[in-house]
Amino acid sequence: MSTIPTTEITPRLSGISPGRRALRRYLSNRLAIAGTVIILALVVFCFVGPLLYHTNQNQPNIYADLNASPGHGGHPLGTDDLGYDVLGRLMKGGQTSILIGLAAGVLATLLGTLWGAVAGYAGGWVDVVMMRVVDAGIAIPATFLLLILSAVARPSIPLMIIVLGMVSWLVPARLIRAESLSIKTREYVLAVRAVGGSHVRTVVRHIVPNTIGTMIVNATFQVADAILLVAYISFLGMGLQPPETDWGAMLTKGITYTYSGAWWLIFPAGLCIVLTVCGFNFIGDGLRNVFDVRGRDL
Amino acid sequence: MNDSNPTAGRTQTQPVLVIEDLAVSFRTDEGPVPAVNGISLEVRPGEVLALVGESGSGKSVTSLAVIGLLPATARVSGRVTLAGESLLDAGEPRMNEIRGKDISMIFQEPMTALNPTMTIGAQIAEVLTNHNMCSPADARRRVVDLLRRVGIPEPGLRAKRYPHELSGGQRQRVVIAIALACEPRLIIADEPTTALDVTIQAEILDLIRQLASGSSTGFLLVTHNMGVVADVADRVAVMYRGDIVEVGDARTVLLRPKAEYSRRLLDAVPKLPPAQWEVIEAEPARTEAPAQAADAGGAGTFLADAAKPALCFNRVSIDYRRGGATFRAVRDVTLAIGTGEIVGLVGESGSGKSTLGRAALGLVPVAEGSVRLLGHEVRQRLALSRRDKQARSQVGVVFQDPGSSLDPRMTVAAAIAEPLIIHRGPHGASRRARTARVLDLLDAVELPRDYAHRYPHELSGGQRQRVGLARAIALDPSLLIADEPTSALDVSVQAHVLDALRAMQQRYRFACLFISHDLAVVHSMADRVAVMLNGELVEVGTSQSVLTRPQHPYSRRLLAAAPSPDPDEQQRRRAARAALALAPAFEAARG
Repeated sequence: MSTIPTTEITPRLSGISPGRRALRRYLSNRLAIAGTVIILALVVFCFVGPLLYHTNQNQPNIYADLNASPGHGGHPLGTDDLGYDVLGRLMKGGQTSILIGLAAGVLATLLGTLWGAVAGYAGGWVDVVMMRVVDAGIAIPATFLLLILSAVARPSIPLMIIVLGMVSWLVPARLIRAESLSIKTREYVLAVRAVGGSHVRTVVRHIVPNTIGTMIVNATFQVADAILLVAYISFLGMGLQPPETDWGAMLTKGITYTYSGAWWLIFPAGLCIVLTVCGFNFIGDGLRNVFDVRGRDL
Repeated sequence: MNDSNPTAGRTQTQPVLVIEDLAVSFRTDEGPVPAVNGISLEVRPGEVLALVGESGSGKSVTSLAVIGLLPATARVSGRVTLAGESLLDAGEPRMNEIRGKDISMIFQEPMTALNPTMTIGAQIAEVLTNHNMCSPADARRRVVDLLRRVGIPEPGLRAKRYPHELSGGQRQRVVIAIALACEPRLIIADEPTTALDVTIQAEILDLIRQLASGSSTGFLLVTHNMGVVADVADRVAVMYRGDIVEVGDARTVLLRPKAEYSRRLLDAVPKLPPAQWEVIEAEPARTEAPAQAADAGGAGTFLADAAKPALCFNRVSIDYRRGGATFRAVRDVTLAIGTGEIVGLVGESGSGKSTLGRAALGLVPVAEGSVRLLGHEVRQRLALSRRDKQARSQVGVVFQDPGSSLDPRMTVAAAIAEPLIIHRGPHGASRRARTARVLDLLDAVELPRDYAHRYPHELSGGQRQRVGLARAIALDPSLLIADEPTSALDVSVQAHVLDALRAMQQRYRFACLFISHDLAVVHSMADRVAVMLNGELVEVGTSQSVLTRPQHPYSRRLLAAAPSPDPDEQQRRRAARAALALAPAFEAARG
């Protein structure tokens, strides 16, 4: 029984790397492509746009027509109540919205992943305490907390990122804990423990990397949520102070002046928010498809 | 097997199932993948036709094609005829009528094949009423009959039980009762005993044999196990990569295989030496206290007293706690493994053999007694001291499941190098030293060096197990714990991995605790064998003596149940099984 030629069937590689295959699967989802195109277009619009389309977004221009309709006086989307060019304003507002959304989403995901991975891995009373903290956090309405905070402190971009990050890490923490519970019983984790590997090594090198699918998919939804939250706060007038702005603040102004007949003001910012949130959600769905089939070929 | 195989009269009977030129392929991202390439087969009434092959051979796909349960991505061509009716042309509504009534299926895992929220009686009755076989009142009576037929004691009472209240073997009997309910023409059994322990496997196979002989139902038995074939099959079809390479009478194929592949497959099956049944039956069973048995046959006699044991369990007990209740998984086990010795640990699932292995690795807390690894006490600790860590570097481990034994996000090289990084030993000091060591280890387990940069999903199961082996011996351990290292692999691959393990052992002379449920595999590896039952060691001795002349009734029962690909030996075991079943001592010992 010693010299049998290998009759084993090795996995077919067919010259396609796993990354390539994942990309192909991602691209087979039309909505995911649409989402990617939307987000890329918005990022280019917000960050490259101002280089091509110059407007003054730091000082109000009270000599211009206020609340001018689109196309009037060389302003493609008109002006707002302080004479700012709406198109330029949309780019500037988009920069802050996307920046805060991305940064807060990433922060929440990192924090949640680490917390959840440790809780799930440790188990026992450590897990109980850590997860009760999460439960307590989820019981506090995030919007309410943000409103109080912005009333106490002067809102700035870093503060918003930190606060949003601190309120939205709870959901990823729960998701990752569940995953960590199952990964810690896999044999490769036992193998590390058996050979004397430390807990830190086990969590950082083995548990966290294997939750990457859940992590990334959740992160895209977190970004969308954070952008919406910023919009809520600003919509309620508690957001960034002028001349800083974001899409939520622009929406508020739009609503205020809709009653004075300037109905067009709500559309640019409103559409941008809807598009961004949809875009990130579509990407999240597409990524979920990619990672869900992991069991099949990974 | 062959005595219950009347050749006369069989040729006149019409086959129940005729498969002609059946081909199946699957649509995938990378184009169509053929799974079955035009095979032809017949199943006759009252016979058990075994479809044998290794994973990927297309045997399960064939059975699913017959019953019409392939996924939507499959393309099927050819002809499948059941009692004159073409199944591939029958529409889905017609197939739905046929399934359960004319063809039924026995699945591998009885726990998931039964609905946990319904009583077993209701589940059997459901099949009957679904196919309008009888009224609900009649159904109840039929249920009791069926349960009695599949050998369930007190069928009237058991019909009101839920699946979780039955043992694994009884659950599989219920699954068989469901399959039998409508007196189908054909029963497809897809690996019906793979998820069961050997002693229960033997009971289920006896049942299948008994049901097939003298009935008009044909059995299509899909299996990878040659021992199962030898035990129950009348005829065998050997499949290899989508083709049937050989069909014939089971006895002929097993004893004188014609096809090259069948020969290789049979050669790869590890075999036990013929057991001395006459001696066993003559000798009375010995059932003294397990601790004494361990002392007498174990630590004391075999080891030279000067030799320091590599691993020593001293009256070890291990508890599991779940929801306040304590369950003693291992009780009072004393066992020593000498330097360079391979000790096989056999037992059925739940016997505590894996738990014992994990205790040696410090992965589970020990309730009583002590585990000593090279004289150093092993404990489960929150943080390891330097001495603990030092001791851990002396032990390697190979696990069962090639799917989860390697981190899917680490390359082969990173996985093998990990122990070297954790213990900055002579090989782990620098990146260059580690790389050199990894390449050495890949050579040692006979994997190409360029596999270092591959990820686990790019390797086959056997290759992954060899990577696991390389990782286990990376630190030159004095002790290797192998927990069912080959039970998830195909036999030919198993032979490779065992060869690699044996070669490593001869080269590095480590001691090895080899945990397995497969007696033949243990016999081919181990110097001594320890048998576990319900957390206790019931017998310890040299492989040769325990596996040919077992003393304890449980060991005897285990040996009689172990399937052998040799039909003659299998028949002797079947006879021994019947004799042992009458011995009352066993049931008491089993508790």
